[in-house]
Amino acid sequence: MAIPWLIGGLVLAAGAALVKKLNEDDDNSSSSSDDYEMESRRREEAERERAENERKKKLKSARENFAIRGESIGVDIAQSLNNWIELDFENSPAFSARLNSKGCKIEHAISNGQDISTLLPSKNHQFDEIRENLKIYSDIYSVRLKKGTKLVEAGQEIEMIESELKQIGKLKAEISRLQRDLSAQL
Amino acid sequence: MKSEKISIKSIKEKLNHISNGNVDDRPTVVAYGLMNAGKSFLLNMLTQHIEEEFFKTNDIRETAEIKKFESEKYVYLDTPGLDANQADDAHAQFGASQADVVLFLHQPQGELEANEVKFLKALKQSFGSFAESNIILVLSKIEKEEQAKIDLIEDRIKTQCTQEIGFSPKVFQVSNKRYQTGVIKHKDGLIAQSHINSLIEHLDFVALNAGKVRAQRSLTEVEALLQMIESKEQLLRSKRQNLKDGISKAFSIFNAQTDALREFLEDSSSEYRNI
Repeated sequence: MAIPWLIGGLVLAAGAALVKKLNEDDDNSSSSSDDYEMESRRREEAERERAENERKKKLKSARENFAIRGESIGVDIAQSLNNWIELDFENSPAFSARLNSKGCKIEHAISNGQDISTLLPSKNHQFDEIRENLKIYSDIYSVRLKKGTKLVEAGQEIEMIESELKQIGKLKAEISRLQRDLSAQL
Repeated sequence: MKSEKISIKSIKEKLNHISNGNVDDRPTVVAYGLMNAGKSFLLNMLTQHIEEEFFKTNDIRETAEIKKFESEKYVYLDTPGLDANQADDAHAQFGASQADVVLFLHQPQGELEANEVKFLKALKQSFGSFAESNIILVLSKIEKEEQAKIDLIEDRIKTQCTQEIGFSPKVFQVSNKRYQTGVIKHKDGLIAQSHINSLIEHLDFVALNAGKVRAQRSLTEVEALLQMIESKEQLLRSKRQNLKDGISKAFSIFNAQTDALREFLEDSSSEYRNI
C-alpha cells in the first residue's frame, strides 16, 4: 500500500513543481515588457529633446542671421539717404527688429518723438510714400532723422517759388479787378 | 522782357503805374520821330512858342529826356529821337505809355525806316481800336522838297502803314517854318500852306476821346501784364514740379530698399514661425 501513496505523493510534488515553474516564467516575461516601454519612452523623450534643441538652435541661428541681414540692409539704406537725410542712430547695432513667435517686433521705436511729415517740402501726396518709408526706417533702425543739405536747399527753393506763386495769385486778382474797371470805361 | 526774368517787384510796379495812371484830365499829346524830325519845332508851333522856343530845337540832338509843356487844353510831351540811344528809347517808350494822341513826325527824305515801323507797330498795338484816330503821322519840313516828291513819300508811307503795320492813320504834310514865318509876318497864305491849323483842328477832334483811349491803352497794358504774369506763373509751377520730381527721384533707391526691407521682415517672420 505504500507504493500508490508514494506515487500519488510524487505526482503531487511534480505538479506543484510545474506550477511553480510556470509562475516563475510569468514573472520574468512581465518585467521584460516594462523595460521596453521605459526604453521607448526614454528614446522618445531624447528624440523630443534633440528635436527641441535642434529647433532652438535653428531659432537662434534665424535670429542671428536676421540681425546680421537687417543690419546690412540698414547700411545700404543709410547710404541711399546720403546728403538728403541726416541720421542720428540711438544704438549700435542699429537694427531694432527682433523675431519672436508672433512674427517680429520693434524694440525701440522712436518715431513718436519726431515729426517726419515736416522733413519733406509741401503737403501734397507726392511724397507720401517717402514719408511712410522714412517712418518705417526710423522705427526699425532707431534713428532720428533730420533734413540733409540737399533737402534743405530744395525745400528752400520750393518755399521761395510758393511764396512767389502766392504773390502772383494776389496780383492776378488785382489785374482782373483793374480789367473790369477799365473795360467799363470803354 | 522775358517772363522768367521779370521780377514780381517789377510787375507790381508796372501794375501800380497802370492803376494810378495819368490823373491829369487834359489829353496828353506826345511827339515822336527820329532825331531832328522836327518834333520840338512842331510842338513850339502848336503851343504858340513862335519866336521864343520852349522846346529846344537844334541840328544836334537836344531832347535827351521827355520835356513837358502844359497848356490850358493839353499836356504836350517832347521825346528824344528814337534813334538816339537805348536809354532815350526807354524814355520814348515811357512817353508812349502816357500818350492820348501821338504825333509821329517823319522827314520826307524817303519811306519809313525799319525802327520807325517797329515803333509804330508797338504804338498801334497799344492804342488798339483807337490807333487810326489817335496816332497821327506828320510829314514835316515839306518846304524842303518838291510837292510831287512829298506826295510820293506820303503814298509810300501810307502803303507801309497798311501793309507792314496794319492800320491807316491820317497823314498831315506840315511846314513849321512856313507857319512860323506866316505868324510873324502875318501872312495867312503861308499859315494855310503850313497845314498847322488843319493839324490843330484834327487834334482837337481826336482829343475828345482821350479818356477812352487812356482806358483802352491801360487795358492793353494790363492784358500784356497778365500774359507776362501767367507765363511766369507757368514757369514757376514747372520749376517747382521739377524740384519735387528731383526729390522723388533722389529717394527712389531708398523707397526700393525699404520695400526690400519690408519683404525681408515678412519672409523672416514667416520662416521663423514655421521653425
